[in-house]
Amino acid sequence: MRSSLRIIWLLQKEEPLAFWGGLLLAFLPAAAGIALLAVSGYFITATAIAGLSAGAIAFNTSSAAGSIRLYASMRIFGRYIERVITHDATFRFLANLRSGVFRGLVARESNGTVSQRSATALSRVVSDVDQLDGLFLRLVVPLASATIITGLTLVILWQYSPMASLALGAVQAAGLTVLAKSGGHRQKSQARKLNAARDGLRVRVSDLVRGRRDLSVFGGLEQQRVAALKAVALLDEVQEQNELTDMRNQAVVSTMSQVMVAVTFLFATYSYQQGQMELKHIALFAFVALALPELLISLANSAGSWSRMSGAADRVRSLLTAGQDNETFQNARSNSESPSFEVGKDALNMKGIHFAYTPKAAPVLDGVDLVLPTGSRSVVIGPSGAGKSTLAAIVARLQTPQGGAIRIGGVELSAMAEDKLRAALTVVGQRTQIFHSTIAENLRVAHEDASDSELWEALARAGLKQLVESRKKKLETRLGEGGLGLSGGEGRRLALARAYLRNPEIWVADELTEGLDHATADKVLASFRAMTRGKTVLMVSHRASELEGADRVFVLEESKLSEVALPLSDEIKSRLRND
Amino acid sequence: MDRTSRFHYASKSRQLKSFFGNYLKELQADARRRGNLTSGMTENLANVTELSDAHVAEVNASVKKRRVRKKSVGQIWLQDAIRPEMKLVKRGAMLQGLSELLWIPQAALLALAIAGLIDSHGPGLNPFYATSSILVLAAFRHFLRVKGGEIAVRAASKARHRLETSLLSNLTRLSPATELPASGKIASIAVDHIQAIGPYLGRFLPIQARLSLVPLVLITSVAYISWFAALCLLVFGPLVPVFMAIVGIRARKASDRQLGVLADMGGLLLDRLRGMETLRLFGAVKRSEDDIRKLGGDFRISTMRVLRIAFLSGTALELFSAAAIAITAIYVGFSLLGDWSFGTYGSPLTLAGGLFVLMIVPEYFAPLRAFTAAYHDRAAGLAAADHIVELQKQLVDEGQKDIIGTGLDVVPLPQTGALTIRSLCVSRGHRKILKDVNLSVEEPELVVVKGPSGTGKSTLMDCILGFLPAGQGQIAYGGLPLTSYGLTNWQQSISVLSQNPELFHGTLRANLRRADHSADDATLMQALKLAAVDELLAKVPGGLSGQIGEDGKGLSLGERRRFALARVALRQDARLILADEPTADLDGATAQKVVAALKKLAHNKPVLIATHDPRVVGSADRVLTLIDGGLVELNEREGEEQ
Repeated sequence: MRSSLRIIWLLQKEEPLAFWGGLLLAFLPAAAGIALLAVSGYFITATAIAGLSAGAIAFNTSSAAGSIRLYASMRIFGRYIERVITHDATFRFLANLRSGVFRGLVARESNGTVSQRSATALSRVVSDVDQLDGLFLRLVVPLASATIITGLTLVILWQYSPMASLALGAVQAAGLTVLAKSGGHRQKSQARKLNAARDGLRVRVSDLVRGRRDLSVFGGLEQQRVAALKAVALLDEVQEQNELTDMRNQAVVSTMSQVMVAVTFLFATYSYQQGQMELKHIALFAFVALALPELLISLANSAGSWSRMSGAADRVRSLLTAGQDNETFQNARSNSESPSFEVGKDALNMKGIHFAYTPKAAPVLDGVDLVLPTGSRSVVIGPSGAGKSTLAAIVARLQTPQGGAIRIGGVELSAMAEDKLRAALTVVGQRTQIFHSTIAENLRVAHEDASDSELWEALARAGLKQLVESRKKKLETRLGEGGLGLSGGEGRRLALARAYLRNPEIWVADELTEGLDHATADKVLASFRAMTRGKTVLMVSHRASELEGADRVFVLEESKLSEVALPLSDEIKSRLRND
Repeated sequence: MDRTSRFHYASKSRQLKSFFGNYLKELQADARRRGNLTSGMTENLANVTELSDAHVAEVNASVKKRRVRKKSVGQIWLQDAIRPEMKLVKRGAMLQGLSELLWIPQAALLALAIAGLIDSHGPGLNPFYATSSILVLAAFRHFLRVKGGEIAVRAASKARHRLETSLLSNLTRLSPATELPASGKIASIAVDHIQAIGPYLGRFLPIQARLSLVPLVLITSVAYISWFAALCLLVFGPLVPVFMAIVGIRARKASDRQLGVLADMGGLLLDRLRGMETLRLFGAVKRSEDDIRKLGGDFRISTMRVLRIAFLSGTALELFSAAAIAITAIYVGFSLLGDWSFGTYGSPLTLAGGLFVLMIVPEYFAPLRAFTAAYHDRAAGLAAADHIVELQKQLVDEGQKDIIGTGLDVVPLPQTGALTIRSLCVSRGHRKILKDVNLSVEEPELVVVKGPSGTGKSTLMDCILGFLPAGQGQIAYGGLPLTSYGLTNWQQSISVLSQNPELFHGTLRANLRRADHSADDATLMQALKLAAVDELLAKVPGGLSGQIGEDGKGLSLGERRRFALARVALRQDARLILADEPTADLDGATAQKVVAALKKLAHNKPVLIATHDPRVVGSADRVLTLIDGGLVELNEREGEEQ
């Protein structure tokens, strides 16, 4: 709950107008709805009394009928305006929330704490944000208007009959308590269970589908099915419990409204019999009691999701805070008079690099030294899993080593401002991402202000010009999620074009042709060579064809890096892939 | 369900659909504000357009041809699938409906009690007596409502469970060689989509069923007091859906205009998060953050344009319910004053009657509100049904080729024997893949089947495994066809190293023990050593007890393949070892280790490898080549080449 409040507070700070305006407008139609019923009831009773006394009292029908009309139209139009305003506010909040979460995840990643994040974890973050869409609309707005209106009603009714007003308040408070309890702590563990059951089933089913070949051979098919069925049973049970809770909540609110009507009426009658209240106000009480629980209906419907929201809020809040902390850190780094990359010096100079994924694990790199003179082309080879990609990530400051010193163009890597580092050095490789957007936008990730002709130039260099020209929308062609519509080789070349737009001094290529067939790999390599002429290049590879044109070759083995003589011995050659 | 009642239900639901079927936009809007639990806003928005399409189609259809709305495949399937539970759901709905109708006596009691206080000459009731009766009725109503709800929710849960179980069984029964959609898609059908059936069945259908009954009875009770008030309700109730339909058409036009902008915000965030490393490398992080904010803003503006119109239909409900209250109140008031005297049956309207009518009006619109709020459940449920039915169809279609039969007369598998393939022909679709393949393997040896990719090496492997049926010809072991051993038994007597071996969510030990349940750690280590993967244990935190995630996350392909090779080695009772492209995408050193391990395994039992990698071919005892769907042994030529 605390996290939810924190997030709500943040939202309020960012969009105060939408927030408070939405709350105020939500309050009006809800109040008008109650007033409408109350005044109608009052009007009927008052007319009846007036009718009975046979015109002895002149009853002002026009003012009562007028307020009925007023409340009715307030209800109708107020509700419409309220919806528009609160939904608009919600969209504003979500946009802010998304960019905040993005910032937070970037911050986490750049602190080097999280290395690989699975797709499941990422979609969890996204669904967390989606869950919070109800925070304002389904929690803040109904809760605030329920509390305020109940309070106001009680104050007004207090003047007529304090006792009946207290009864009304007590029943409403009881209803709120029941709802809060059902959305409370016990439910939170329930929500966690639901998430766990859901993830469990997802993993089991996808294991069952992907691994059905191995499973039927190794005899685990039945076991896997039983495990999946168990997850199903658990999921169904938790889900059923949730649905039952929701259903009971709604029943409670409905029953409560009947109890409220009965009890309030009884107390109002008592007040009347004691001579404390006029007769005509009895109906007023009865109808207010009838209308008041309506405020709780929307709360009852969403009570089941509070616990889920609050779980999501916990996770999202930690990201939001991480984002804020990092911003100050980043600002500090770029504000300090950070020195720039100097072309004259060695492009890269690493000394005594030590790296392990966890303090206990065996080190991946242990005392690695590597010097790349400016303009040199070097290749690091080694068996799979030896830490070649880790080395590339360290050079690019995507991973922070536990020990050792790295200088890029004579500047201490850790002191370098982010923008200066990224201008000087770029990584291309197996993990390059194609975004779900146009080709032009995908390229402009690297260089925001690049002109169209610069984009075409980069595409030409990467050997993609013809392909893009053949598409109807040219540069505005949309690429699907994950870059569908481009083959593996084309995606790799698009990444090269992107890197070319940056025109960095140092190129790091991490398994550039991994997963590509022979012919495609050759084309990609040719583009790469053409682009990087005259630049400093560090390639990480286990393919023989990538070694062509290298000045120096290093072998990374058992956490150590050693240079090997050129031309390569047969022993080294035999370790490489030749296809 | 017998024929007549099914017909009855169908005709009733048809009436309902033409009556209330035209709910649109409002529905999302309301679902959102009233809290549809799992739905994200974007999902709702997607439905805005989808729904409005459906509604426009519906309105057109009903205007032009007045024919029954066409049901989607998913809807028809769903109706059939949940038939066993329908009876229970309807019983639950009945109880809940009864509970709602008990408001009539409660309102009457209250009206009489108030009237009794004011007009001692008219009909009246002791306030204390009225209050206690209302409370007793409230308790009874609560009981009915909860009971009915429980029945419906439990029935829904049962239906969901049955659907899930049958989906899982179908999946397991399927031949592993079947082409299936991506595992993630199937998982999301099994997890998310089937779950959506629950609220549809347990919440929406009972409300829909009640909608046909409760308002009618309420109108009747009002008509008993005043025909004029009843007439108001009779006119206003159906006006709500009509008005909604008119607004829906406008909303659709608006949504058409900006359909291109309706991008999924969650998708955008996920896309940028996935590519975070790239964004950092190009210093585009700050810009992406602004992009996300800006796109969020665009999305807001374009969506609000649709919603502003869509909310009008929600306003229809407010308009008619508020108007009904106002008109009733004014009508009753002026009747009581004696200014108006119409709408009743002779005698003038009493205060008790007037109060009663006013109390019934909000309840009359309540089921409509509930229906609107739960409409999202319907949309989600039916969309889910479409997904499920698509998959089920695929499973059943393929299931006809299901060949993992449960052998009736299973012969025990001999410890040793010869695998013989005689004139095997296999075609997939119209393409003949294998034509007249002959092969015999018995002694421990390393046999390589080579040939370029796409020539049918994997198909041959699948046939030997019994994943694919032999079209013509015969595959036998120890002189008997494979089926006589029971295919499951046969499959489990082969050890296989697949091209993309699957490591399962769990510990390394559990993964290895799939091959041999009783293996102790020493045996496991021995197998790991054989596969030259023992030193990599250090990389997995926790060693043998270390967890590996989905897809063997954290391990490279070469490591995964070597762990899988250890698993293969653990299968000591295997009659035969198959390996499909064991060295593909591996570097030289790793490939050598894999080949050496396979060679070692070939000392004890026959090892059959499909590959085109020369490094493997070089260590083979026997090389066979697949050419034009036939298997040719080219010992001499091979020798010449070397």
